[in-house]
Amino acid sequence: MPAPKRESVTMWTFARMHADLYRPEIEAWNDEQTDSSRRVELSLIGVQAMEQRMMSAFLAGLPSADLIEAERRNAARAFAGPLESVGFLDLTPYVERDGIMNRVNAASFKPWTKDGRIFGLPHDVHPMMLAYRADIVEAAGIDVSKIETWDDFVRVMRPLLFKENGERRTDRYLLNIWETQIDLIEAMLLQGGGGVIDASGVPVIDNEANARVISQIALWTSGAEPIAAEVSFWDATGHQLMRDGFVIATFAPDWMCNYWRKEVPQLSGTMKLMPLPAWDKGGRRTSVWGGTMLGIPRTAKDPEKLWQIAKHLYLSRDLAHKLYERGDIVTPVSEFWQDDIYDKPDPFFMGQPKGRMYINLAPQVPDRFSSPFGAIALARTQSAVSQLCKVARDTKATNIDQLMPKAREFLAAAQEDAMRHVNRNVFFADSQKAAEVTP
Amino acid sequence: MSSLAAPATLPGSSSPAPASTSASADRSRSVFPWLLLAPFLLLVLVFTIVPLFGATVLSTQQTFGPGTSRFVGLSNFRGVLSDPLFWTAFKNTFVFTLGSVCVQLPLALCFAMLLNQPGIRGKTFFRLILFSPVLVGVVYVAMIFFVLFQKRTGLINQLLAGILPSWDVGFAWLDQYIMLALILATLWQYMGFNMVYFLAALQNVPKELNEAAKMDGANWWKRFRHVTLPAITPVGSFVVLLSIIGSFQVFELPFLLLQGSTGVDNKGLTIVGYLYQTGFQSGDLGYASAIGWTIAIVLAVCAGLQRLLSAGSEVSRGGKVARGGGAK
Amino acid sequence: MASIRFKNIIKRYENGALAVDDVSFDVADGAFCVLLGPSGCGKSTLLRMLAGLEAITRGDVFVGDARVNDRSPKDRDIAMVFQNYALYPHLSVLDNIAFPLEARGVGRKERRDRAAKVGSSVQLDGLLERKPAELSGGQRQRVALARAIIREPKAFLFDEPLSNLDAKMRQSMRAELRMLHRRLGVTSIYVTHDQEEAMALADQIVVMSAGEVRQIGAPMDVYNAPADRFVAGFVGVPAMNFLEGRVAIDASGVNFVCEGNLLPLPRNWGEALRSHIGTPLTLAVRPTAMRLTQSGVGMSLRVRGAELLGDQMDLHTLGPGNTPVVARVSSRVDVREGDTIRVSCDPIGTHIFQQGPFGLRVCGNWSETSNAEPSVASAFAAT
Repeated sequence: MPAPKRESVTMWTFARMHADLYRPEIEAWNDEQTDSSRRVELSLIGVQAMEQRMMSAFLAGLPSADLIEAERRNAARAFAGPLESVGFLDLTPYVERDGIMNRVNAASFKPWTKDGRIFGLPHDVHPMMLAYRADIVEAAGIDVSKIETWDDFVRVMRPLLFKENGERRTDRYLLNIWETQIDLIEAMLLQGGGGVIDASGVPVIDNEANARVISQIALWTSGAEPIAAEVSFWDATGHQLMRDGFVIATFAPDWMCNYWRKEVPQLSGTMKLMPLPAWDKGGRRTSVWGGTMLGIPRTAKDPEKLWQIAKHLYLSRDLAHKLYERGDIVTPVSEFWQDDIYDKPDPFFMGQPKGRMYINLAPQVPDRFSSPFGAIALARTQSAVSQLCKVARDTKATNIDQLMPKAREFLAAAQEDAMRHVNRNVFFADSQKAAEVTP
Repeated sequence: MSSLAAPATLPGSSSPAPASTSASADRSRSVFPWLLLAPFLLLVLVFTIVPLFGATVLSTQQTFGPGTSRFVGLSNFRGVLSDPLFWTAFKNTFVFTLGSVCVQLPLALCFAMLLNQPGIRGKTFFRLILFSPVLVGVVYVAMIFFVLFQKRTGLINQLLAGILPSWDVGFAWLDQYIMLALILATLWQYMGFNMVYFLAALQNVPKELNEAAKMDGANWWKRFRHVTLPAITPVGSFVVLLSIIGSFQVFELPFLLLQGSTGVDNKGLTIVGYLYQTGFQSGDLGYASAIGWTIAIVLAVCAGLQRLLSAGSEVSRGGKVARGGGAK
Repeated sequence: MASIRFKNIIKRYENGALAVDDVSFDVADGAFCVLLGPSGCGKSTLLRMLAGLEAITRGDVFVGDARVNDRSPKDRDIAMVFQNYALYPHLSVLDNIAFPLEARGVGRKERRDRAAKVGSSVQLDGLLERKPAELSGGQRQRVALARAIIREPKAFLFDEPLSNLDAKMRQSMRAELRMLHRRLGVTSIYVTHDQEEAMALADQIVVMSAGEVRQIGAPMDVYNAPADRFVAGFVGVPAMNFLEGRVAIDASGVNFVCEGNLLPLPRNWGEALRSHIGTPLTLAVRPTAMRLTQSGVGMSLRVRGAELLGDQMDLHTLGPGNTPVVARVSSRVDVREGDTIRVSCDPIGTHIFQQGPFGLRVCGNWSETSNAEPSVASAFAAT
């Protein structure tokens, strides 16, 4: 069967919610087009499958879709290698020409930026808050407004901590974090002023900020008096534990609200949101988890046309509103942040103006950088966390100072492991040198 | 060749030119088999030989993103062999392999011997029951065991706590004991499959030999050692090799059970998992190829050992063949 | 050493098939007993029940005075030699022979010494370190024998031990077995479907068919006085000729009438046959008892072919009612295909049976007419 001649624009996305959102918009767009080559065809593809297709096409230098909406992890795979070998088109000239930078939250561009060049249009900000079981907390007469730092959080909430009392499922922890949840660990590192990758894409695992965060996590999960436990986000077991109030608080980036609304509707009316407690007084009250971009593959024809479609989808006020209404996701386009829609009380969170709360935190969202070594750096960091948790368990640690020296030691080893990969990469060494010369 | 071709000459064909007839018959005879083989050979060439060659070339290159590669000689291999993570992965994989071979296969043999007892009712039923897990896709196996192995809520911890009151329901199957969990899940999935191999082998154990041993006063263990074991050794060593090969390539199950991570402190990192991480997550396909070749070499050594072993048992198999011939 | 006794043995398989139907007989201490019968007659089953490899449905088996029904095979103190030798393929000849001793916990040195001695007694010197796969069929059978001998059992059981050997080897092993039995004097029970082997080896033959014993006796008894038509047909090569007909007794004498042919029978058979006048009977004649006659007596046979055996030949003919008849005659006789010959029957080698596959013997050469048992010499002299 001969392949039909491809005239229209093809677009891939991995999220059903995105597809549902775009479909009416795309239909409206298509109806307006007199030129059939401007019509858009949307395909919803599983995230892993999409990554494989995208990377195969990039590695082979063959055309894939015209517009690809990629998640942070898989988009990062395409950023390996020198600038000229990135499979996505460099959008910097378009972004600059159309003045997009001023209209969009700056941190949202960072994951899609490599060596100062922008390869994707950001879809979101994904600020993170803490969702807590307000029913339980308020019944205990606890006032969360007193909480400013993580230390405050643990101190104020501690009365809710249940010890094992014979009946297995009634014990209760304060926080939902555990040693293998690397996404959360990364978010915590970023909030604490650390991170695993620097702006040039090099692993920077071993530093004081990271050591402090992982020591705290180890203490929370594995110390003498653990206050944190594992409640998986993505399965029925975890949902049940959430409903049981097995943990008081859990991490909630904006998209998570939508996930709960759909998957655990029983939680509605039991939870409230609060900014993340800071690591230090006056410190950052949020972090970031997840992220999506829209990119144009280098092989695509007529990038100008595609750029217009991308702008239409990502910069439209209407779509930004729908994104929040149906997806609970806050737009990265800062000029829409003043809109009333974000002030609407959300019954799921006991009437809190959730959107406004996220938007207030959006400017504080930390920068994160993409790197081909990101996965390795994170994996090594996770190893360090696990090693530290073991130490915490074995020594029955009671404060983070007991863990800090070991934390530095493990992070240094993790850094060395990660750098082994960086250092044996001849191309990366070249591009680093080039980057040093250019400025 | 011409004597073979001769019958192809039609009875009525003129005798003065048999040479040319037989030559053209020769030609068609030599082309036709190749024509039949062509689809297979083409597939092997395109999907096996070329990629094999490609992987060899790749293993001497460093790649970094699309379209960039540079010859680096054996530096990838040097890197692999001095990479502590590779050795962590190797150790994990080795433990898994050892567990699979040393736990799963004896158990499979035990079940096979149980089912091979005369007078067992519902043999077919039990065989089907034990075999059926292999029909379950590995993704579903992972999904099932992910739920079963959960701390606190997992059925396995709950069950064990029900049996042993001192059991810790927070037992971290998927963290500290991931290899144990993997071995158990694989046991569930493949035990019955290997059992069927052993069952087939057991049916080849000469009945008289067992009877002779019984009359000679050999106890169960002596009969097993001198009759059953030698008879099933050829199949047994093949099953061991298959298990080693399969176990060394373990990837999907830990990948899915650990949801894409390599587990607590890399306890769930396997060699192929590391290959995936370096090649497909970090984009260093050359390094990944070197890891792949390292596995290939290890497995080739295993296969060589198996050949040596089965050459040793060839004598006993030769006995069976000769005996069969003698019956004529 | 011990006698063996089977008492009312019945074997019924789970599927209901009756393999052995109420069999009883004794084997004297030191005797060589052959169970003879076609395949599926139950002879191997009987042997395996004695060995303990097969459960006994009903009845008792005795080794000596002991009832062994409930003993495990190893506790019955009997050794068995199998058709396919059942040697342990990965053990050397020596270890194979020594295996029963090892299983019984005899020390390594002693069992190797004894195995070497037994091995040498069956001419296995120089082969003791080989693996079974490196031996010829005859050598393997000797190893199996040695493995049985070394246990010094009360009885040897042989389950068609020679049928995997070629004809020549079979004959020489037969002789060896016979000598071995003389030397050791151990009670032996030997299963075969080869009546020649039975003749050559047995002190006592037990002929079986369809799970039942047809006849028990010394080899020549069985040959000369087959108890029924089945035994008559099974024992002897070439097989007996059977002709259907009736007996007529008149002034001229006793005759067997078959499709108009009159075959004269000895006058002294008249007594036994008188009560059977008018009932259909079967005349059985060994091919060796066929005599060519020139006169008008006897029956006429149409020759269809001849099989030369040396100084004798087997004529394949069609007799009365197109019944195939084989006659063994001197090869000097000039007969061609299509010729018609006339034969009479030598009373020695001729029997009358009631009709049917298991028809009982009515009379025949010696048994009812003479009190004297035929000697081997006289039986062969008659041919």
